[in-house]
Amino acid sequence: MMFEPTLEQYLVLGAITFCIGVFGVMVRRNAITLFMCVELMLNSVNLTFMAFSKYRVDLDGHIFSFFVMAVAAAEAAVGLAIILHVFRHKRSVNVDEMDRLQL
Amino acid sequence: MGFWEPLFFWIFAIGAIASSAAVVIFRNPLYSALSLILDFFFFAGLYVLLSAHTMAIVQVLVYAGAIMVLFLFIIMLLNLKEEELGEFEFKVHHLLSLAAVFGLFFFINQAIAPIVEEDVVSKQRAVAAKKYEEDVKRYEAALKAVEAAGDDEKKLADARAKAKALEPKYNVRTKSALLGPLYSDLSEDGLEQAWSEKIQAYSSGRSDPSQGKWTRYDRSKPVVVPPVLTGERLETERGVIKAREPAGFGTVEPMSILVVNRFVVPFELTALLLLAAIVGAVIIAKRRL
Repeated sequence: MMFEPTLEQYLVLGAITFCIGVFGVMVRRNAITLFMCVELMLNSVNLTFMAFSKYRVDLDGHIFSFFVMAVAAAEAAVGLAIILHVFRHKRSVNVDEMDRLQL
Repeated sequence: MGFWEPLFFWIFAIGAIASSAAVVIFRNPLYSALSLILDFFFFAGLYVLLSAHTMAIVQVLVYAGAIMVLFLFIIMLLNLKEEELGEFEFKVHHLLSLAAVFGLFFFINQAIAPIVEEDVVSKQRAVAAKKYEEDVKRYEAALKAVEAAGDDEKKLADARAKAKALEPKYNVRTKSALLGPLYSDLSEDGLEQAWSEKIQAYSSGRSDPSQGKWTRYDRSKPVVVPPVLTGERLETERGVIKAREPAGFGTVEPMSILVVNRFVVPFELTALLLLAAIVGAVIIAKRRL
């Protein structure tokens, strides 16, 4: 059957969603949406890990994406705290206006 | 395989692409966050199709649950007005980034292509099938030689040694060693069998999940393996505990075995990182310390 999901299809799907995430990071100026696009990229990488994991009968990929999820949680916590802090000073979450290290 | 798996794959794949596009397209971050939650559910479905059941659950609980609640909470806290979101204005760099993303996509595809090229796969499979048949033929011939050796002890021992050397060492059912790791024709059954062989090797002490890198506390003591891992029946005074089949691929059991053995140091480091992130988030977000 030609529609049967193969390794290639999972990899291409991962590539497509990764590219959508990259596009969002490049185009969007809202810091929160930018973070969400980064999460999207991390997810598509996880999908590739799982696909290779299944086709190699090896659980290492699962463990790795487990760690990726933990790191994503840490990143979201710290990143959103930074956004909150910047918003208090500038009243804006536009990344174009965050052009100085000093507030 | 069959009918349902491809159907669900295409539903989840199209849904994942559509909702990730929606994340980028929506101007209001609230709508973006909601479509990202939908996206995570589609990804969880794809993980289930890849026999990664634990990771699908973690995806829904941690990503779609905890992280997205945090995002929605921050969006609601900031309470951005319509004018603060800014009007959409077309800029040249939008086109440039679109071109760059297409370039990236074709670059990734070029990287994927040699791995999954149809010719390479079919050639590899043909070679593997031929080698498999030859191996089996030679092994059967050696077995016949053992039978034909008769009473001559020296001849018998020789023939036996020869047969033992010719015995196929790879997993005969999945033929994974022959087909190359990526293209073993995996059915769910083959996956289960290969993994349960691994688990049984761990539990009988033939191999370590840590690959011998991290030694057990006391090697002289026998390690008691719970019967759920070995698939044995255990008789206790309360009756026979019916143990199920050895741990399945992608379920919690083998993952926990790996996390506390081979990946114990990365696990601890991740825990440390999360602790640091909690402290950092508190310090950054607090107005005055």
